[in-house]
Amino acid sequence: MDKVLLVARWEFMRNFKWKQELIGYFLMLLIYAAIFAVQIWSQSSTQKTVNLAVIGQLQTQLNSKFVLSSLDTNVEEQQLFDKIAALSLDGILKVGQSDEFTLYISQQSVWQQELEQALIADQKDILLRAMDISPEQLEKLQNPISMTFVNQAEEVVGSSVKVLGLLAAILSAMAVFTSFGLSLTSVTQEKQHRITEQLLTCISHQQWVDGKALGLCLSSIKSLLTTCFMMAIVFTGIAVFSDGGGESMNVSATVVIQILIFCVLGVLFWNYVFVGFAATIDDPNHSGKTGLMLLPMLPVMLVFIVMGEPNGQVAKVLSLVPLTSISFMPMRIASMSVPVWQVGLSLLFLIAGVYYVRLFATRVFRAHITLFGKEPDWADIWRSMLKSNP
Amino acid sequence: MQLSVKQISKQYAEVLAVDDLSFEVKSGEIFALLGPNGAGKSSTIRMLISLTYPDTGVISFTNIEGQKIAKLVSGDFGYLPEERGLYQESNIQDTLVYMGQLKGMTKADALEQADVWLTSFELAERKRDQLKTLSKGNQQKVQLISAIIHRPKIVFLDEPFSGLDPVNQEKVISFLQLLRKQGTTIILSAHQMSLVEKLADRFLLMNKGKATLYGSIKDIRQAAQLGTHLTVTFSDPVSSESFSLTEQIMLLISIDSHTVQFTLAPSCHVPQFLQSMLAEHQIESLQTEQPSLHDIYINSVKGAA
Repeated sequence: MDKVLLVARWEFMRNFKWKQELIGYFLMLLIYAAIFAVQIWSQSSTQKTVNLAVIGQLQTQLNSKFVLSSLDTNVEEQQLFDKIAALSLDGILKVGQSDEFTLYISQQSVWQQELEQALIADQKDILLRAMDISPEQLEKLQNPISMTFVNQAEEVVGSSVKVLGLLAAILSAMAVFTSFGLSLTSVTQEKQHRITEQLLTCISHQQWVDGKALGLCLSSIKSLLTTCFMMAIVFTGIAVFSDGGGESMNVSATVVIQILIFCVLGVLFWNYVFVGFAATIDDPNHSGKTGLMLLPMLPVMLVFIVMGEPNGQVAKVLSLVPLTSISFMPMRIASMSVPVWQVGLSLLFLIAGVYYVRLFATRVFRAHITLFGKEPDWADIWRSMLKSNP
Repeated sequence: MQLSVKQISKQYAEVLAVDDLSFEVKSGEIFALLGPNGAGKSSTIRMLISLTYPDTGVISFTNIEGQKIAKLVSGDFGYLPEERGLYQESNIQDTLVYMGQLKGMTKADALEQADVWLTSFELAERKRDQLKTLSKGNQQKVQLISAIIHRPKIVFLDEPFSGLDPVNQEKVISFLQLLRKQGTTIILSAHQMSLVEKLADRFLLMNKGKATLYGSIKDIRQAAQLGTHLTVTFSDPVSSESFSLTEQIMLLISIDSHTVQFTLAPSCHVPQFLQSMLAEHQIESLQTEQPSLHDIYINSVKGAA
């Protein structure tokens, strides 16, 4: 066990370059801060009033932002742009027949869309009133029914936690992809440099595979947690600077712990797959086996399809299968109150999955890590999975 | 630690890499595996350290056999693979300590040994540098240290001299001699015959997976049936035409107007041959030279081709 932890620690520390990481996080925060600052600057510098000249009869009252003045109806169209400059106007609105409006402007700005929306809203209002509809009837027409959803599951987990399900699925997928990159690079480099051969004179294949999978799993989980931490900082920053307008997410510790357990076990499961698989590759740049990269994408893609029905048959079944439970069970736990037996069974299957994938990964690793030249085909890999003795 | 190999064979797809190979390595000796590329040396070493297993035959280390070897005595092995490489991005000291710890050392012990060996190879000042910043020769020294840092009982070195300049080759020879003095058994494969000849105690010449010659240099010379070189300087001018090839004289070369080199058949009794020559010529000086390992190696490979 000591040697497994030694390998795991080495793998973790090899991928943990704290100086570069700190610089990376600092730059990321700087970028977020810059985006936020530009957004606030842009909002504060938005035009407060708009000087608008109107040609013709405007039926509606625009809000106070628009300062209106009248203009001679006989002005030729060609001269309108000269008038904008001469009278320091932001634009000239020409009201035509049949509610046709033409806006003459010297440059594009946000207020022009606001004006269009205001005119549309006012025109709607005028038309409805012309039909002699009372304000109550108008309200009824705009909101014909009132529907309230009373969901027992949401009462248990909290409706704002729904987003956590999607977040958990995306982040765990991110951790799996990080693992794929790390394990492919790490194992194939050691194979190419014959480091594995030296290591295998002092540790067993099993110890090496365990240490590798554990170390890379920790690296991926570390990336996941630091991403979460950065997101939390950014969201907190947004909430503070936007007058506390952000919605707080009341997540119970039990939900977070359950999601974390599935995440860690799922990433460990995939790490064993990747470590075993990487042992069959001599050179990742020229290997035809990169199709396996698509496999971990499957649960992520599927989870998007069934997100609307976390308690449907598909979601239930796929949250029990170890290949997909890493994405499905966290999504379900975050979206509804999942029966304890389903969580337990899924966990049991995932643990069994990790056990068997560890066994098969070690067999594949043992059979192929010291072979060079011709890469094994899928049939060779399958045979080595079934072969218990070297 | 004594090694015994009995009738091992290994086949990769259509290639029979090792064919019915048997030999023994005594405790504390330097044993050299020699042979051309593809002779089966690396395949043999890989089986000895349990990286692969023989299809048939038995390998045993002081009565420990088969797959138990990997579990029981792997900490006693040191291995330098033919293809070199360690963690290029990691610093040298950390890498050596990691390797030492994996081989059962405590961190303090590994640190101490790393310092001792790095100092002895004049690399102490570079210990915090990344491996990739070292020259190829220095990287090889670090690799060699990583193979022996844990003071193994038996060391397997696949081509330890390749890529080294003559100065560093001499350093490695001194290093290996030091290990032997400390009682370490060393099994190495190499192409540098002159280096191996003065270093190794016994040899195994391989070709196409089979053993062709095996034993000490004396045993090998006898078995190789290569003639002795006899260089004779005569008082009077002579040339190679003055002599003719016989059952005893295999080859004649004129060195200069007074000197001829004879390659005598293994069956030739040198003192008798000299007596018969003295009856006809006056000899000023003579020099005998046994066939070198290089000659035996070339002859062995050519003969098998």
